[in-house]
Amino acid sequence: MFRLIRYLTKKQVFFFLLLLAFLVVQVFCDVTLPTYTARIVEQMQAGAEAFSILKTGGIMLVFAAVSVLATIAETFLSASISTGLGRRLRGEVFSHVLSLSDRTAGSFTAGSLLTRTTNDVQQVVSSMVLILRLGVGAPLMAGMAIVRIARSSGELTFVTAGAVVILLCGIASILAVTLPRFKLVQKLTDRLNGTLRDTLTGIRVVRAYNAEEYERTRFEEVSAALQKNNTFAGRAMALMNPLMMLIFNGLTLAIYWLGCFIIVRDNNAAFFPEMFSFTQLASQVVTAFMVLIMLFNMIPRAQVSAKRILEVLQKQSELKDPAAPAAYAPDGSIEMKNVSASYGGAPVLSKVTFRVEKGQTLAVVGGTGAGKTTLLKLLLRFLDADAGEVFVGGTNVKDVPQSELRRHLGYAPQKSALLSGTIRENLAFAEPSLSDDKLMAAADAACAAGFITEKGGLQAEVAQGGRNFSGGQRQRLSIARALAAKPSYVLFDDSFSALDFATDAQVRKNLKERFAGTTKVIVAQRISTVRDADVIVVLDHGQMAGAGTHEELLKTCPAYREIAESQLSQEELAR
Amino acid sequence: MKQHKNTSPLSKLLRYCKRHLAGFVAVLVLSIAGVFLTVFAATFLKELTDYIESASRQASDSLTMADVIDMNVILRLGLTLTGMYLGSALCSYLQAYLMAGINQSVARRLRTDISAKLGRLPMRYFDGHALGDTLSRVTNDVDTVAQSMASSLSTSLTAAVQLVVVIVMMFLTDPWMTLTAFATVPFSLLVIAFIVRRSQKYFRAQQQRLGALNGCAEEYYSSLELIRAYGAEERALQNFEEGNERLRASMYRANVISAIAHPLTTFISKLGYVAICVVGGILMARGGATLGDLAAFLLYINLFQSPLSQLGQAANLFQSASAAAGRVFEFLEEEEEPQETPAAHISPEEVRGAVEFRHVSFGYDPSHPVLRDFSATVQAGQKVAIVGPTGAGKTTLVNLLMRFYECEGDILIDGVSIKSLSRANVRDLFSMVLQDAWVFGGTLKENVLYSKQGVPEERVKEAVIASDIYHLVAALPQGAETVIGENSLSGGQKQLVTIARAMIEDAPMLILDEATSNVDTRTERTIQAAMDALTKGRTSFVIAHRLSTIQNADLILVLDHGNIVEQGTHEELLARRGFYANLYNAQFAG
Repeated sequence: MFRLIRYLTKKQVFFFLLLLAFLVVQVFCDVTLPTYTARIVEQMQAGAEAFSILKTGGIMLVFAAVSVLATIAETFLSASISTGLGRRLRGEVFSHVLSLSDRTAGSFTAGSLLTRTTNDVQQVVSSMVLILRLGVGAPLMAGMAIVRIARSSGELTFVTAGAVVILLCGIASILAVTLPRFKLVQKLTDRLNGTLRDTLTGIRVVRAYNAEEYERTRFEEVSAALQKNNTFAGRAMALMNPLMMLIFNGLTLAIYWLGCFIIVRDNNAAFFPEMFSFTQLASQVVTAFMVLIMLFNMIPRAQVSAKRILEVLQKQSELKDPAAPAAYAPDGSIEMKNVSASYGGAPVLSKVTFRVEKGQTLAVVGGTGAGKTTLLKLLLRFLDADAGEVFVGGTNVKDVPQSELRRHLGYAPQKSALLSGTIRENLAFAEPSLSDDKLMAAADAACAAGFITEKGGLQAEVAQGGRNFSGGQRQRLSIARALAAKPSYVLFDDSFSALDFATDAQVRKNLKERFAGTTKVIVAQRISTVRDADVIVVLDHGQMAGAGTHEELLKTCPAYREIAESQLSQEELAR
Repeated sequence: MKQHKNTSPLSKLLRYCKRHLAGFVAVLVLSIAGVFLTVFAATFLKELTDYIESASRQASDSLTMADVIDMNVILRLGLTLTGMYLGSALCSYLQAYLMAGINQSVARRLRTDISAKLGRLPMRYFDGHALGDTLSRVTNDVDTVAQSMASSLSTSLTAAVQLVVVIVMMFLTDPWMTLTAFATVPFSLLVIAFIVRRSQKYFRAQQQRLGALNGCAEEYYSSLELIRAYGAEERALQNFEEGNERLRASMYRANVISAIAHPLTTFISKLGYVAICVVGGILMARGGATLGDLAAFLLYINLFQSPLSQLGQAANLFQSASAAAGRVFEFLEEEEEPQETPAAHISPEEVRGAVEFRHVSFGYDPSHPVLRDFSATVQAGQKVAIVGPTGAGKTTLVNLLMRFYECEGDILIDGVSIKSLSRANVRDLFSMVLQDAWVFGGTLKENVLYSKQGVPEERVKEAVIASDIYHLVAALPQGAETVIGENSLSGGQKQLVTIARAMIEDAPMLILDEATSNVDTRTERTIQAAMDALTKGRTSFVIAHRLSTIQNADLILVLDHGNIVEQGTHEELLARRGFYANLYNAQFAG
């Protein structure tokens, strides 16, 4: 957890040192107060005047006030440190996630990343500052109080130390019994969650099999075990408070008793007021130790969160930008040479080779899981090939900085994700400064201008995920977004699937006429979408089954012919 | 619980505690006893102080301390005090012991009721509620209820009793010092009231900004691909940092204001402490009070102030418990599926399997009908394939057949309306395999047998072989007894397990909803053979996207926009060159 400390800024470190200074002042005041109680008792015993008692009281108040002011200063400082650190860590995690590659970010779910960014950071930061502050304050308090006791009586120091030892032993044994149970409780809670999650995710199956009772029994088993262990742990923990009270009270009593003994032995009546103040010092010592124990309890929980944050921060994208990139001027071509790729397991693509020139259309067809999307990811360099080389614009993608490469690529992902905001913000995602005219031109090419105007123009609201648009509308917006910045390349991942045949054809016609100089890559299922492409790559379970034009492939590629025959009539095939 | 919809969650919770009345009474008695012991211990301590103090006054040059202090008296008082301290510790332990038992038992009953409720909720509920939300009610909320109830109920009980007893004792000891102690109370209350009001505002702001930041991060995290492709990292970060800074600012305010309460109230209590020392000192100097009075009072003021702050904390806890209990009861009071009074019964052994859809209309959301006036007749023993584009209503049809939802119009099995059968009866007639292969955390065997009891080993073996999972069984470390879960099997393997489960179920009719979509072609062929065996002689409904599965159906129902547009066999439909042929071209190729 303390590895996260290096994210503190200089100012925060200075604040922390300042906080420690205030802490020393505060503890000093707190420990000095009982001395004045002793003096008041002394004055009372001596039958002093009201004025002198009032004066001592005044001094006590001054100490109390200084202690409170110091505490308030600590509060401001620690709030500033912890919230500042929290902000910093959240920013670090967020920007780090953005820097991760597909493969590295993919090892966390979006939900898990989210918890790590907010909840875990909060958990760590709030407990870390507390641990640092009290971890210094409590031993300081205990130390100072013990020194004061020890200065006037060795015996009483001994008794106090004894009480601390008993306290530590007592708590240690309670924890020794309960901690394994708490771990078990944690496991059972996970299992309870898991069981219920199972039931909820499979609710249709549960209903179909009339298995409601069965599920209830499964749940009850875990629930009962949870109750049993929770009760046991709770009952063992119930010992904690009475034990502490007993030690508190026992210590006071022991000090009284021993104090009397000392008074009698030394024949020293003046020891009485001191003894009176020792009961308070002793209770400060015990309190300090209890605080320490509480801290030890907090550490493991904070550690878990810290580990989860570090897991993200330590992930590094495996995609490295070139050290000294040459200027990138893509010539509009795309080429793959013997490319194989995987996500760490079995190859998803193997030995893919093709080439298209500037302004041409490359189509990729194949069944689900054939590797079509992976091929696009290689072009975008979301993924590096295991073997072979990928050239975009005549340069190996590994020799271009990722951001520079992607600046030249327009991309419409398979899931046409829209972000909440306005249509304008979505269409101008690549380049916020794009003019309305350019955006509308792109929208028109994607056959989206009509419904954009209907919805109220570019300023119309888009709900998260684009829920207020139909699937086909989302796809067209996604296509428009890819075209808006007039990139050298556009990549469409199954972006025409929700369009009706007429719109599909119109969009392709627009692409051909208005984006003649743009190289187009289209992943599709429909033969009608791809038949006019300059090069069609046919993928079958990651293998390249063929590459060429529609006519060539009909003759040479059985896999392609099979697909084509199943979709087109004989007349269409012959056309 | 329905009749109590308008009562507060806390009073509903108290009804759950009713059966623990005896326990609560015991806790109350123990807490009163504990308080009395603690308070009276203070008076004994006062006696002890007075004794030493007055003795030390008597001491002079001729009388040593040993002459005036009788250690026996000290010992006697000390032992009495020890006894009282032990007694009060015992009381407080027993009290906590009992509360732990009550809490966990209430938590368990809440969980049980929630789990039973799951079985009675209509499917609609699950469509409209996030899984995480329901889960969180069962664990987090029930935990919060149990925890806060433990702390707040028992502490507020003890605190209230203690407050009363201490105030009485304080007055009995010395009215002037008591009034001094009281004088500080309004200050404390003012400070707390001021801070609570402020902090609530700031905490609300904090939660709201946290929510906003969460939303922002959530959206970006689920669109990472897009951000990368468009190089929008900088802008995303900038947006995030804006929200991040806003959150920091309000967290800072909320943190400071809530943390400042403690030093302030401590200061006020110290103020009270000093004031009592001074007043006590003056009184003593005038002979109006003894040192013992003061010593006792200093204890009393602790015993007086701590329940005040405890009551404050308990009030906070009550709030969070009440919020959590509110969420739990909201769930428990969700509308259930209507009680049924089945007018008919079809036993699985006797059913023939003729199914008729008669003018069926249905929409998950009434304003968006998914099926419109749908009618079709299926002969007993037919294999029916249901095809159509996404959103045509294929799965909905199955949902209605299984009576997961109630529809307009009617569905008849062997001429009997399923509305006149019990839901359980309808579901007994079908085995079902879904696209989302579902396995639960349990052994492979448990997953295959599922809720079916007393299946002979022979049958299990048959199913294992027919569903092609014997390779899987052989590969697992403990065979069929290996615990499997959602993530320990591949999609295809999970699907095989669900197929084996359907084989064990062996119901007279069969529903396969894209049952082989995650299985590779080679395995599919194996399963297909098993399925053919399974579907032989049974009425079966198959939703599939693979040609091979559809081709040999006796009847193909082609759905579009919630209605049947064509029906017939594969050849008939292809020859017609209509919707099916088109669809088949657009969807199934590739």
